Amino acid sequence: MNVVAGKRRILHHLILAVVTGAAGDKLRKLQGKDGQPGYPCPGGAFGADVTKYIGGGVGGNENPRGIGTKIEAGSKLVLQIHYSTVNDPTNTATDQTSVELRIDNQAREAKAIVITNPFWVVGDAMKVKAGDPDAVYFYRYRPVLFTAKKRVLIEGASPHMHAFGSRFLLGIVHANGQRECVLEIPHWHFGWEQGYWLTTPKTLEPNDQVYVECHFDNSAEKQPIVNGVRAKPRDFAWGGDNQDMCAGFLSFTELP
Amino acid sequence: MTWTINSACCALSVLAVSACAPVAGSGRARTLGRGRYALQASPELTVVTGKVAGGDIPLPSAQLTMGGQYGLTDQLDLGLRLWGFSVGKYLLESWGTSIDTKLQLKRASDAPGTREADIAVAPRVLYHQVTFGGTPEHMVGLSVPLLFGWRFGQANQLVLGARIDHQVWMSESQTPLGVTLGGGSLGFVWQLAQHWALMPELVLLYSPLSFNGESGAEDSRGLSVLSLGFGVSYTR
Repeated sequence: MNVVAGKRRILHHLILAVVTGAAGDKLRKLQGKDGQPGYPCPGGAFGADVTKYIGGGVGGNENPRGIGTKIEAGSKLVLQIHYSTVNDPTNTATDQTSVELRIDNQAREAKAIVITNPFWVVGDAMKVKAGDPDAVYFYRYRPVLFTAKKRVLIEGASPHMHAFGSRFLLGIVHANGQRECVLEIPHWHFGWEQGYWLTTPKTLEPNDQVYVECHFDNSAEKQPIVNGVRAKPRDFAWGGDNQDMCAGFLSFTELP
Repeated sequence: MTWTINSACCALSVLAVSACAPVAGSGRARTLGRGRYALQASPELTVVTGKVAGGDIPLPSAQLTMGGQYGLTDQLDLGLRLWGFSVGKYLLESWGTSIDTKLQLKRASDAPGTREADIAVAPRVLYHQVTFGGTPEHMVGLSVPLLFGWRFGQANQLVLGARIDHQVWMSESQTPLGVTLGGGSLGFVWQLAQHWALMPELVLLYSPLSFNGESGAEDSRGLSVLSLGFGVSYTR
């Protein structure tokens, strides 16, 4: 996917997704209903059940090794564009951003492995205490739910933390105990949250584990500035605003 | 993106807790009596529903429980239960054990036609382990059902229960997670023969547990457990 940016000074980022079945019909009915192009989706969600995401950002991406996203016949593509009006104080700018797609009927689809402790999502099971400069959480497991106990090729990786993150690691623990790094971000910044394709795929055997390790800095210096004042450290756990998460995603293809 | 990650991770969390410990099997609101014993087997179907990311995610599971109780005195039973469940395809396994007690608070008259209720409290301590992808999660818990039983016919009994459960879930690199559940049960002990009884029981529990850290958000709060047990009991 390649993004052809219109007015870059107001274009923040975009997301392209695939919607199928009744969800697609629902969006088609919403389209143009308010007399404007497209349909409104306040809050950031698509307003529909998204089947899969093709890509996002502002730069686009080129998948390696013939990897693609399979789009079933009859599916709808939904393009969501986020604008920032900071550089458009009169709020009068118009935009004609578009995306370009490469069509390949021979492409192989990459599937995803989610790596996170399911219990972190519940209550304060991933608690980071106020003032802790290096709280560490990690999780490892055999992802057979996703790989169906097959030998697969790890093609890419994607991290997920928020603003309190300080270091991120994602890797493989082989059955003999040897660790192999897939992705390490030693000095985390939220801008590093994107997908990364490996130059050389790594093999994940059926008995291998995958692991994620997240470091959080909840010291006084790391707190957000609100209305010109730095906030005081406070306990947080898994969550959205002013909290954080620890999850990794691996893209894999099946061996022929 | 965050919304999608929330959904994926919340679905995983509910999947993990869905392989929960059995909650049915309280039996009669009446102790066995000194020197008597009972052996039980109980398949149990459970639906755990987590209210996460603005929607309900229900996930079914099943457990097979085996166990027995012994009447230490006329007023006190002591028992042991074991259970297990496995979906090898996904490396999702769970097993556990509990020590069950039943203390008779009020014993109804044995006179025919009595409308008196048996009242018993049945505290139970349990250990339960869920293994997902080969990584274990441990739970220790305490369950305190208060049972009220009314006799129907010769030896059948309708049993209503009110209960409170507390569980603590633990694993490596996880802050221990305390979960308190409250609810009730409706059971019927159907005496098929002198020694054999069927004990269907419906249990509903609820916890105001928050998901996704949004403790104040109603659309991310609440875990319910609906369980149906089909116990078979042999008593001597």
